[in-house]
Amino acid sequence: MAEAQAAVSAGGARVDAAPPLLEVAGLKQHFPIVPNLVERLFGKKVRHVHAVDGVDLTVYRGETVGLVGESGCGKSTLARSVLRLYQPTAGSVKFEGREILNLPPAEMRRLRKDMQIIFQDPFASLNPRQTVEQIVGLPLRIQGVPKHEIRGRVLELLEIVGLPPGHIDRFPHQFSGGQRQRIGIARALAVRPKFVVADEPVSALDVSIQAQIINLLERLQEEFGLTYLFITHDLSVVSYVSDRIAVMYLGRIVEWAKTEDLFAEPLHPYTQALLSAIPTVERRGRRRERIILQGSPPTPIDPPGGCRFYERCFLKEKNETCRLVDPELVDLGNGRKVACHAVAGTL
Amino acid sequence: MLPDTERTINAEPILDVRNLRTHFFTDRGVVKAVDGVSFQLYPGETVGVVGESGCGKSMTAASIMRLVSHPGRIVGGEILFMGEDLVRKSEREMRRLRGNQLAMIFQDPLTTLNPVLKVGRQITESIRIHAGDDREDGGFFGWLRRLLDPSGRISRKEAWDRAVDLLRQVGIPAPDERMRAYPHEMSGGMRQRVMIAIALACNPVLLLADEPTTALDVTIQAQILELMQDIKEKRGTSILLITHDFGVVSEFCDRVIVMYAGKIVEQAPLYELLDNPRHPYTQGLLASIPRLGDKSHKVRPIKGIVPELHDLPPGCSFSTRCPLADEYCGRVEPELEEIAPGHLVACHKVDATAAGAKGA
Repeated sequence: MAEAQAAVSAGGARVDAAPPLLEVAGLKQHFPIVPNLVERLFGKKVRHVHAVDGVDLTVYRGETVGLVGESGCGKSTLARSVLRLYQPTAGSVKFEGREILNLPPAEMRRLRKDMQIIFQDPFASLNPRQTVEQIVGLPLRIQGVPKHEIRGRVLELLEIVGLPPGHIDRFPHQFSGGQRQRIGIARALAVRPKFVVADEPVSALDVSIQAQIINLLERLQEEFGLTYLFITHDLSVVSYVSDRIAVMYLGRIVEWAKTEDLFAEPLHPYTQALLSAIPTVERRGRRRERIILQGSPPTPIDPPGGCRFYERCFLKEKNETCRLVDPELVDLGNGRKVACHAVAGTL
Repeated sequence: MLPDTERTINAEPILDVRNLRTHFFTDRGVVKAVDGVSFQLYPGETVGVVGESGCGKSMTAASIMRLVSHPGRIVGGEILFMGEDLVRKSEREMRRLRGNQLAMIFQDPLTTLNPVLKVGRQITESIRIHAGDDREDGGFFGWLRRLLDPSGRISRKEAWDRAVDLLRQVGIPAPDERMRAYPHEMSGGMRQRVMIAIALACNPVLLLADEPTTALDVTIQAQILELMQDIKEKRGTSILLITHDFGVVSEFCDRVIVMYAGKIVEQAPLYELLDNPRHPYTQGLLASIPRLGDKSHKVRPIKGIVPELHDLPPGCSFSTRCPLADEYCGRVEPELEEIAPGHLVACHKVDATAAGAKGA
């Protein structure tokens, strides 16, 4: 216990000393579903997909924050809104203390040098008609690096991500999935970013290749002092790479904790179910009791009030309060936050 | 559950694949997708086939179902299913078996269900085609024969009731209403339940499941795995589960087959394989999986990439990536050998791999 306390305060000190690199507050990203003309004549209203619905997130320099959740929970939308690839509906995103949601385009472009993204599908995210030099060189060109320097820089980047320099003039289809993901990483690193969003970077890869890419990302983090927002549905991967983890459910963060704490003692019922649902390689006689959730997540189109997990929640304590009152993300100290009436004692 | 050795004495295998070879004849050369695969599946047993993409695991299942399409062809071997060789069956005989004794579920239920038909229609169709009446062949004469002799044919009403019952069995709430839904109106987990209902429609003896939960979220995956476990226990269906996920295998299978580049490299009862993996590839696979919530366990990737199947290295296919390989491995292909009861390994260095088994 003393040890754990010490670790917490050490971590806390590091966190308190430096201002956060990224600070997101009350971020909302709603997408309208506009009815067609006939539907409108019958009085159908515009509805909204509440993809991200009030998220607070802080990311400190040099750390890796994992963002987990099932498909449709809004984790990828959150990442894209943070990078302003979508214009968020409401909220604020501060990068190095500066609000970026109202930056004019030219300044935003300059800022993009510091924030990059690695995509999930290394097949869809690389232009099949461009060579590696063109793909990796594009961000450099946009940021105004002189033409004659680009090839040299690309060669350097290929070496960093572990691709043979001789492959610089090849096209994406000549590479395997893992190698393509390395190209995507080289492209993200080209402009020396401070902050990298990795959106399911290993989900499309085979396990043995997955491990190569994970190790590469870790090495790059050390070498270049990168800060990662690591999005994945794979809890084994996220537990391996992250310092802190945010669990999302239907557009909200339901639990926030340091990785060790989250796996040692998940507090939110959804997190508990999520952790117990993962099939793991267990040695003889170590099969666990699992919580099997009923049903699937409700639709994010105009979600009802109250706790969003109410329908699937298995806690005996759940009652009318849960159904009617939206639980706040309550700070429990030690960097733990949870949005559940039962855990926070607000039933 | 019987231990493996007892079962071999007591029962005949339900599926006995012998030296199966399925090759693809492409412009770039012959791709040996399945190259000399032999294994048995006993009644009530669940066997997992694991390996990375392109290792031939899906093609093994497709070959058993005889669903290999041009330019691929089964070029050799036998697939004995309840004593009969599927390789030599006519297409018509195969059609009678598929959906009856043999059923398959696929990875992506959205692409395997017909998007323009309501799910009720798709299930009843399968029931009416396969149950009771084996004159499923289309065309005028098939229709005429059925018209002249309607006995053995299941009525629409009867098929409908059976379908509703099946949907209830696979845990779909309000099955009556769901029968009238289109696939796109259902969630991924629901669609996979419908696929399972279709597969179970005629009480198959053998169920081939090709990555049945890969496209699903973990909480939904847990539901589907529980459902399959339930089916296995209640009906005694034998299952061949194809997956890339060792986690799924370790929660669900009795025995595991590891494939690499079209061949079986290791085969063992589940815990024997997890506790004592002896092929360097199996060891590498296990070492490259991050452990849940355990950061101290460093992942160790296998170096290099899976070789192209039309351009395999000579000797052992894994020799180019293997940490133990020497000149002999690059020259002579290893045979599967039994090193312990039920534990088969294809590796020249099997004596040296015992040390690696611990760390994997």
